[in-house]
Amino acid sequence: MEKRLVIGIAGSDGKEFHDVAILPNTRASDVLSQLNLNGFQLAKPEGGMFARNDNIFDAVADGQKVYATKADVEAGA
Amino acid sequence: MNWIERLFGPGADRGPHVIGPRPTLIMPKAPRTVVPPPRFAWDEKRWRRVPEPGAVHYVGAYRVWDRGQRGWHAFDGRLVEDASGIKAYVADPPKEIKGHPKGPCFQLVQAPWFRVHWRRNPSTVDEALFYVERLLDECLNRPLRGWL
Repeated sequence: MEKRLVIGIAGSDGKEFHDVAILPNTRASDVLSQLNLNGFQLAKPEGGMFARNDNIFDAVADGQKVYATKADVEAGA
Repeated sequence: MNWIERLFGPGADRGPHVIGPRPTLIMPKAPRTVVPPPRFAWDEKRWRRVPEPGAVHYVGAYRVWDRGQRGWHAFDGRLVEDASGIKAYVADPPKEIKGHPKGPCFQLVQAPWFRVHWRRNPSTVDEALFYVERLLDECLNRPLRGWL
């Protein structure tokens, strides 16, 4: 059983989308590395970010859109 | 050829030729596929773009799922993009922000609005939006996951 996802790149005006299919136990890092999205992280649909080792298969629905956003943004006092 | 065909011609034994209205076949029309236009993430998240003199404001709400209370929290937000970069504001952040490592980066500018100061600037409005939602998620769901 697989799930299909649309990975959108944040800030690209929707011009950069990747259609991917994932299998059970797929981690966020698996998706990012296979799409060559180094320095990115995947945003959870419910807010926040997936950790690299999070199992995203269980956390997303089939057909869902998930955004990849750069991981180097950081708040500072 | 049987005797009827021999007498009346070929096909004479097939019975009368019935003429009636032509059947009308009604079928569902093929569905028309509507392809959504390309959108920024802020647009997908239903924020509004408000042009102002010298800047563009993006107005909406940061939305975060509270896993403990099993409900959505929405925090009014505003992102201001001008020549100097992107400024992020959030109204009434959760009280847990005080204990967050990035809590000092939230500066009260005018109640209830806090500005998020950057150490490394986002290059797009989408990045700023996702980052603030990430901090709010960490505040609300810290007991379940711990600080990153």
